[in-house]
Amino acid sequence: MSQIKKICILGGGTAGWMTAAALSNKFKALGLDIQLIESDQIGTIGVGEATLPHIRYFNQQLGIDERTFMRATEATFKLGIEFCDWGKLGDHYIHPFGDYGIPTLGMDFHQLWLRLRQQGMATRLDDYSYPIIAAEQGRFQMPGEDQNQIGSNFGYAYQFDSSLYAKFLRTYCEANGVVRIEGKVVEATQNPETGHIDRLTLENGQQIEAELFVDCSGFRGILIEQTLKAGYDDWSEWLPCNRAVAVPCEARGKLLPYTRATARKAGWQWRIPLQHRTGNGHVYWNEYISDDEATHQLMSTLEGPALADPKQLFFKTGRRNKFWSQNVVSIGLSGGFLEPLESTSIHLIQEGITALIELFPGAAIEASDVEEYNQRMGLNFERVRDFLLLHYVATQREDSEMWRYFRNMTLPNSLQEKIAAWNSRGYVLKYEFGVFLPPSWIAVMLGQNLMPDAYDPRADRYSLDQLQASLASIKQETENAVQSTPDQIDFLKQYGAESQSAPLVASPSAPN
Amino acid sequence: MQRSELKIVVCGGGLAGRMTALALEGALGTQYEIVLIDDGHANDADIVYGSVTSPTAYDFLRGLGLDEPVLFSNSNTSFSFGTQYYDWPGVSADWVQCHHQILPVLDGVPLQHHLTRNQRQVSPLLISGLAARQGKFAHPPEENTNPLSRAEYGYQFAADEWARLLETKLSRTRVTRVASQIANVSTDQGEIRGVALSSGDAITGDIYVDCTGLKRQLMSAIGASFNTSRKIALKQAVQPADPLGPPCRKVRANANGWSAQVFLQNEVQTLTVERGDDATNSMLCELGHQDAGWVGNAVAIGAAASVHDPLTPGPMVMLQRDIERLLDLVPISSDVSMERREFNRRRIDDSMHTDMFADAFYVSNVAPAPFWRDANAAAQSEGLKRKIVQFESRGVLAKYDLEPFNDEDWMILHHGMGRHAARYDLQADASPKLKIDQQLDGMSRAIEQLVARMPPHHLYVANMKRYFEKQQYA
Repeated sequence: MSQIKKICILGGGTAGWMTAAALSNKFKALGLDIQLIESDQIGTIGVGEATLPHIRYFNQQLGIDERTFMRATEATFKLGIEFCDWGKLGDHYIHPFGDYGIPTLGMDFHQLWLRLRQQGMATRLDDYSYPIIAAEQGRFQMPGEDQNQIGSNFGYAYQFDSSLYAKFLRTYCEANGVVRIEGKVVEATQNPETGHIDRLTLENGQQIEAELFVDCSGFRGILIEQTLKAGYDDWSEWLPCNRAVAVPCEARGKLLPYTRATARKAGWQWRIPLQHRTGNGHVYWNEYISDDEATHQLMSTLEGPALADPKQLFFKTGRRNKFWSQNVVSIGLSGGFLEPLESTSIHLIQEGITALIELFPGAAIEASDVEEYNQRMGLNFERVRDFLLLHYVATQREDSEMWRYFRNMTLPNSLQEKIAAWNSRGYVLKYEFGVFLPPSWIAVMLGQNLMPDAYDPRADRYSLDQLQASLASIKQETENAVQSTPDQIDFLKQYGAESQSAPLVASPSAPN
Repeated sequence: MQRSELKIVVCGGGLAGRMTALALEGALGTQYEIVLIDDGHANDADIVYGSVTSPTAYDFLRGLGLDEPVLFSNSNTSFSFGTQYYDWPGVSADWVQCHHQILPVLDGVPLQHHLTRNQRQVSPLLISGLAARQGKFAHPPEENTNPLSRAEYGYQFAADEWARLLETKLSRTRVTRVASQIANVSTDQGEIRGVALSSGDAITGDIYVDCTGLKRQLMSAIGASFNTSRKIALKQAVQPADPLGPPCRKVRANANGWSAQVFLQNEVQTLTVERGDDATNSMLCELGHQDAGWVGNAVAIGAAASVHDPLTPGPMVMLQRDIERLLDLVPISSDVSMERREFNRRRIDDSMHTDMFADAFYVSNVAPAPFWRDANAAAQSEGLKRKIVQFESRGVLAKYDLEPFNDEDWMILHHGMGRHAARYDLQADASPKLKIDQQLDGMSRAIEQLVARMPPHHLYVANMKRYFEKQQYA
């Protein structure tokens, strides 16, 4: 059987190296010839320093040792995301990676809780979530085998330095035979008959031929957009934030196992704790705040001295109309951009890679493969979009132009229905495919003060005494499990994942 | 308790009405009044449910109090590892469309790709299929080292018997049963206002559930429209049989349609399905669905909402899903707009996905007779095309959200119908062919040896019933 062999990946950020790593590992037996073009002169974006639990599976598949990886990337554990000031100023809640409670009386746990709450007999839902309580106290340990046990009913992800992750994967890739080519593309030559890209020409005149190109060139989409004009579906109407400014700073305080996203008047600010520093950024809508003011807001709220000059980023939320067009597959920011509010950037890269591997071309590129790929990725992007938008619209804030804009927005039907169903009776519209499952929706809706008017009447089958006893014991067990969980920093040490580098310190000349 | 009383009026007995009433009663507290209008006669039209269930029936029936001691001791129910299809147009050999748990992933690659690469069939690796062929049955054990733990099973049953068992259960609940026929349904502005009975009484409620089957009494009264995809004629015959046959329904195709044998304790039921243009001695039946299953304050369940081809366990799967969906969305106030929208959204998906699986049996047939032409013409949805193109192109099982038939069902169907994947997942090339062959040989040998030791279905059932009896008197 003949087989496409020559693969060229354009761009060496997180997307490029993750793609190269997965292809070189999965298709070892095919003897693919994988080349990756990157230029040291072009910086990578690397906004997505926080991840979702799925990344663990990606690393496992590559045979990457967790401790080695964590040490090399200054990684910390992540149990969820804390959202501050989203529902109202002063509010905060954690969106955990895990279910609330444990399966009880054959019903959704939150329905039992809603009934007790209506009677004034329940504390906050968070008290029944191990990952939330552990995160609040800065603790971490590995989940055990039995997912139905309190203390094991959670997932975890990482916060890491994505440029170090790219570097780490580069070493992995080069050991697998991936060839890195330093240079900038100046021309892409299309086949006059098929429209496929035949070769790329670099600044130094070097020509790179390939049968399949993976465009990881970031926002610009050098191949998918500049050459093939795949088109972009602009989602600014729903997710209007279009700029960000990012800066690392010295770490202060306890090493927390979660990311923080704080709502601001024209956007939101992230805080991502790594072992050696803290990553910060301010995502905003330039309609309602100037670049200077946005930068000032960021710099004035850092917990420690800045370690570099703030870096400005520009983007437009949306997705490529065709993620895969001709012989070019766009993975990463070239395929679409959704702001990093729920750490989905790296996850969408991973989804793109997984789909590409499952639909990898054989002798030639088949139309049915391309169609299937585009259909799957389209669904992935759309479902993430609705979940992100939920954060902006499930709010009582009216204190600035941006929040008023969201208050007056006409929602996509799919999201409108989800909110209506929740508000009326705590019902969560389910789907099977898409990254955010019911517990995530519950976390955000409750966390942002959408309290259902009623609950599932099936909860009435049980006596209040019975429910109170069940919930009280779950709460107690949760507390006990957290009490026997070590601080994250102690766990990192004991686990052998502590990085050897000293915490970064701002040099006297660095701006602050 | 969050609400004042709500009264639910379930209209129609038979399988759908009685299951619905019993399920509502079990799930809801006493603030819900449940009335079942049931004339007490067996509903002959219940043969549209096809007399066979999928594995999901186990939990559902247990929830209704119909556990195996009840089902096997008090009715002719038997086990079903699946359905065996013979003489299918365009298919060279018969196959067992068996129920099976998730298939193994070898070296990180789903089984189907190894099968394509090594040019092997799936059937020798399916213990439920092999046991069905040999007429053997035993309960799948818990421990997953035993190959039989991969098997799943449903039931073969007689609808009138299950309706009778449900009636017995209902008589011990607080459901108010009204033994009468529905004479008239009064409506006003798209809502049902009341049901007049042949006894002269009238019943009113907050929510009405249409379980009148093919009559669709409430839905027609309220002016709902039914989309017909094609018409079939059904005929059922019952013959005594001893001993009990295989744990597997048998379907044979012929020029005019197909017939199914259901093997029950003491009898064999034969269902004959033909094109619905000649109704001599047959029941005419339109396959299709209501535009919306919930209209105004009326919710249609089972055949009143949609009629699916009894070729697969689809009709029973839909009945169960209709009831579960209603339980998820039982009204909590007089405003049911959200519940209605969500019920209808889920129903459309379920109905479409159920049809897709049955359609997959007809989509590529070339039989010239009118029955087959009709069925083929009705089986051309885009969603199904995607599934077939993806499988035939590269063995990929394209999926939709929360489908009633899973990856294994689809893969077994594709293999059974002789669909081949032109390519396989290239990751399979990382495993030496010989090693995979040996692994698969080992698996099929273990299955063969185990099936050889399994008891015949009839002996297993007889022993099991003796055991139930002893338990009862112990």
